[in-house]
Amino acid sequence: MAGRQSGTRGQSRVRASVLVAWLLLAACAGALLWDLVRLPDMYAFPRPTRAIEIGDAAEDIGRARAVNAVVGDAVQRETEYVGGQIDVLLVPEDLASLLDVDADVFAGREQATLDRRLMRPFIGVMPKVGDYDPVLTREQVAEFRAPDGEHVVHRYPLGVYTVAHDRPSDSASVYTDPTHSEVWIIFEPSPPESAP
Amino acid sequence: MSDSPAAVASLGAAYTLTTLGLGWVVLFPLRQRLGIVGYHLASYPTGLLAWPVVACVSSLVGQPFGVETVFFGVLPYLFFGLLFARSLAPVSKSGGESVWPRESRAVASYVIWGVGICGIAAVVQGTGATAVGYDSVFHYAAWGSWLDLTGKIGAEIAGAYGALIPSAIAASRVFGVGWLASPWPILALHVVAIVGVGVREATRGLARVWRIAIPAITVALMVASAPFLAHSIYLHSHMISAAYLALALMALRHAFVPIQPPFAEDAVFAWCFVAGVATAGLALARPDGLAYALVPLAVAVVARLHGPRPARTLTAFLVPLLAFLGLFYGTAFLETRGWGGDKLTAKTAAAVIVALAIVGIAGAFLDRIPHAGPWLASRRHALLAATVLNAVALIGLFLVRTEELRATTTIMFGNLTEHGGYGSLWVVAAAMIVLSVAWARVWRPDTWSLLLLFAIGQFFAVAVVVHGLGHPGRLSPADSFARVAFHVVPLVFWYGGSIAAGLTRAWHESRDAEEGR
Repeated sequence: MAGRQSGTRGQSRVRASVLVAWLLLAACAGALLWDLVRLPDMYAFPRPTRAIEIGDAAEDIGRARAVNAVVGDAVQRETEYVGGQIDVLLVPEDLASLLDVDADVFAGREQATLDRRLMRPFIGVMPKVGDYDPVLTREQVAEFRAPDGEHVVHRYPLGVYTVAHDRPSDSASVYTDPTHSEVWIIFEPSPPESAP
Repeated sequence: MSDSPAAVASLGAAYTLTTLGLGWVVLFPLRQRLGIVGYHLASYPTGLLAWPVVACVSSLVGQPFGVETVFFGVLPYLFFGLLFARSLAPVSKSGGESVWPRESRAVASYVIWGVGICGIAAVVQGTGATAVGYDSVFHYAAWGSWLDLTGKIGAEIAGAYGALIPSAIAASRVFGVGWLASPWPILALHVVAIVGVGVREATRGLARVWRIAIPAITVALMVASAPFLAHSIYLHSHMISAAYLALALMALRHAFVPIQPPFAEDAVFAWCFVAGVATAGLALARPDGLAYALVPLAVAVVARLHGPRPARTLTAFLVPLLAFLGLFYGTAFLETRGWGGDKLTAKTAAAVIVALAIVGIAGAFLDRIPHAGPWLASRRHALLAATVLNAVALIGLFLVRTEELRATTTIMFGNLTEHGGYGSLWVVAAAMIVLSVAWARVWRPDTWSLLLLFAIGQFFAVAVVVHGLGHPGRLSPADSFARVAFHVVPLVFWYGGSIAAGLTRAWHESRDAEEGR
């Protein structure tokens, strides 16, 4: 009889412990539910939005980043293998405009500017960036083409070209045909030095 | 390409169905061992891992993403995936009974799961429901575009963002999806299902009302928490990492701690394969995912010893894990000739992969060490030894790098309790864990509950090392650790549900004992 009573007391203690543990667990659940009430205050993660337009912006940023990286790769290879000074980088017109994307109002939240930093580790300074304008026909180019022949043109992915020259010049003009399959560089003659 | 919501929804559904289908195909030989729930839950995450393989093929052949590269990238994924999965599923004479249902029910399961997952994708893509931050746009989406346009992995993807998300985005662009938003809510659904099923298994033997109420309440509380809601649509690595970690743990539970013993030996290999694939997903979702791969790996080593299961079961875990990691980081190394950076360099990646391989291989032979081996394999000694080993390693690290680790842990604590956007979640979790240990005699945790607790502890141990040796962080919801802590939240709720089940069982057993039943 005494043993049975002792067993009953033991079981009662177990149930009391379980009950207290359950109450504490319920309190934990209650604290989590209370968070729901405070949700607007504590919810510091990005707010839900719609992907429309973000997709386009990301597309532009992605293409800009791709162009930046391809250009960086091109410059690295040129300086490694050609050894010459890069005069001009050519980027398709639609992508050239992406090389500097000002994104400080992007989605109303972020502040960042896509610059050409991906290129800097390779060359330290920015090369001149040109685009395909003006696009001339072969015949038109032929009229302007100077008998120079000392430039080196290499084509890279995404329609990026590098133009290296052993006589760096700021006065180079760049032309291509409508299919962008060829590139011509016209070096303007340097103005004669005037006598002191 | 039309931009109408219906067209966008269709493209999203087509991409999702392809991803899911790839997972279905690779896991098909294992379906009889995984069962209907396990097979479908593992398929979509497994299919997502096809896209890093496509990225590797794309990089190796020097071509941008396109229909051809996707096709030829998917082929080796399917070939080697099927080859290995088939080798694990000989349906041996001693392999036990199939748990795959009869044909009509199986076909219905494909239809229901496929329509459900693709339906979510269509709704999410069609409505454009998403949440974005700086990383979403300027890194993940941008590097996805870069991978698509150039076919190059590059130092940024390999060293700073991981293979999984950029390659998944690049592949989605081949399908014409503009802004990929569907994997996040789909994987959130997977997390809900994994935790729900896991807690329901913990309620085994209880009355029906408890078997419904405890998993339902646990999952409802998890879904209602602010970080879970946010990461369900936030284009970042966190819901993806959380889903792969939860899937890996679910697979290890079925492999090594059988719910209904005796267990078919073939099933152990099948589940180990799923655990290895899920751990690869965890490792490739973020650069520090490589370090967190130690969490499922440590649980696998400890749980195998507890089994005990044959050493070769760990092979089924390690092969897919190391194959994915070796393929991706090997390809990245070939392409970049080694990369640097301030997150994951080529040398660090190689060192961590080798370390994971050593832990896995050594873990397979621990029980053969004279004297210590049998001790480790008996009772819960392996769990105790692993916990002590973690504690010693952390104390040693604190002694060597006192200042860095003090700063890091202070910031980690501040983010978990006040600044990280978690509300009272981690305070509640800590209180729950402390009480569960103090009152272990009342609710009598089973081995799996202890392994869950070990996994949570191992996660934080890795986090202290990763952040202590790197950047200490900042007090903000945007801090890296503040976000990474979300990965283990599903395991915390799983553990909480197991406590509730244990308490309910203790209550009923006590009442029955008193009534003399």
